[in-house]
Amino acid sequence: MSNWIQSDLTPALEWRDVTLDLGEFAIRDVSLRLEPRTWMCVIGPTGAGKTLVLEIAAGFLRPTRGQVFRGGENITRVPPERRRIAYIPQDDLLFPHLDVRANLLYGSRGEREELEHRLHSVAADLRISHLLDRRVHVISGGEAQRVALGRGLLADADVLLLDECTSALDEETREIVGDFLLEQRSQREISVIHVTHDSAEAERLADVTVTMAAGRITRIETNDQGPGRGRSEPGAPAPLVLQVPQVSRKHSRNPQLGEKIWQ
Amino acid sequence: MRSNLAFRTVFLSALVVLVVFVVMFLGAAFVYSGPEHLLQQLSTESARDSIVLSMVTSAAATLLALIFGVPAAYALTRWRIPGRAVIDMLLDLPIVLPPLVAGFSLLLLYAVLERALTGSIAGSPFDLRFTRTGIVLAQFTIAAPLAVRVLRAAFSEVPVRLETMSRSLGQGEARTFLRISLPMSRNGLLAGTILVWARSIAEFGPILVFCGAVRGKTDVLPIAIFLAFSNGELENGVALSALLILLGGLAIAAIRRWSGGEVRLA
Repeated sequence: MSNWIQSDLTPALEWRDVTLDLGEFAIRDVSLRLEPRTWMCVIGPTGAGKTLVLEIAAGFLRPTRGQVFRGGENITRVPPERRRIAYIPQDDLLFPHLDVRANLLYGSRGEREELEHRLHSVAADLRISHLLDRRVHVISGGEAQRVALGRGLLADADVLLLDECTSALDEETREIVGDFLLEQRSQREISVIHVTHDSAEAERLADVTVTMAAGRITRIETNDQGPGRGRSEPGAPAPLVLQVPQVSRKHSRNPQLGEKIWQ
Repeated sequence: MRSNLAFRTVFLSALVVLVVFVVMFLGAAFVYSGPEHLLQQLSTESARDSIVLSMVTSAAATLLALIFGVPAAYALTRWRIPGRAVIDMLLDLPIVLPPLVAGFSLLLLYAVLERALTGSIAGSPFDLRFTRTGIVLAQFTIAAPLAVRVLRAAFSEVPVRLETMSRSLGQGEARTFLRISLPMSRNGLLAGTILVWARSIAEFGPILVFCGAVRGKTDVLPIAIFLAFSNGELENGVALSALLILLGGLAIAAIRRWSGGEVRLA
């Protein structure tokens, strides 16, 4: 059963009553919609289940209950390689036996010349051009995060799942990378879910911010100052007022805030 | 303080005694004959034939063990297979069986098959008893289960999350295996391969029972040593023993080089 007021748009990603208990980490009855071309930030304390939400969508984990949909298709049992969802995890998961170039190109498809062009363009924007021929074990944590981000952007996917993937970057680089990601979103019409601990970053990047605690969604807020606000050109985010889940009111730890969202 | 010293002295003494014992018994073959004499014995035609036969059969058995062992080990490491505990036990059994029993079981298998197929195996190309091809089969019976065991350890060293990441980047299971799992477990695979080869070249019991000890036909190095000692050709037996000790030493050195200092069995 869906807990959502349905919008007319088919969501880029949707979780319906998803439950998974791994002992230390768990999510329970999570329902969430990511509208096309929307940037959604997920915040919450450690152990809230934010990463589980992403890893279930990416196919790293399978929920014990509930379903995941991508563009209206039930992908709960679809293998990761057929989901076309790029997951950029916190621990970067670069392939240690490959150099930076091979890592970046690992998930990309297309003509060789076009791939090279895209590779150099993304590498320049992420400021990792000088690393292309290096092995990944000799680059720093921040550089590894940018390589993982580049690999996700070069992959054949239009949904990006970012899991604290800028946590090892200094503030200036994080801002540059954030701007680059926003540019990518408007150019390529991608939808993004971004787990972050940085509420300022969430405020700057997100169209909508979801708060999780103890494995449940406790709050959903649209961001009036978000990058998608007021845009009318194709690619603008969907009207987010339609995305408020009934379940958030039921489980909200702050009923007043929940009511505010409903208004 | 004094009790610590006594404790360490006792334990280190045990280590020293053990090392000295191993060096003495392994070195005896080299001291007994001397290098020149060993080389002279190893250059005889029968010794050269035994060496070549051992190299060829052990390489073939190792290759066969890898062809079956790599996929079997990966499947056992990564997938939920019904009855895995029973399969594990079955595959371990040939490793711990007395070698003579393994060879005898191979002979019995042929007897049972002949009874079932009313004797049509004898004389056919499938009858490998007392043949050189049979040596490969006898070596394979131990090499394949050992390969599964050591290769499982190699594959379990590859983080599953890296394989899942490869798949989420659009690569299917087969491509992920070829592009991530195999290259990332390369050192373990190399070390495992050498271990399997070393075990194959040293195999004696199953070959003796299944293929017999026939000079000029089935005399791989261990069989040749057995024949030499049985016929009182001590110098020849010592030289071949020294060669096997040397090959074993090289294998251990190579395994340690590729496995980072230790050989892990899953």
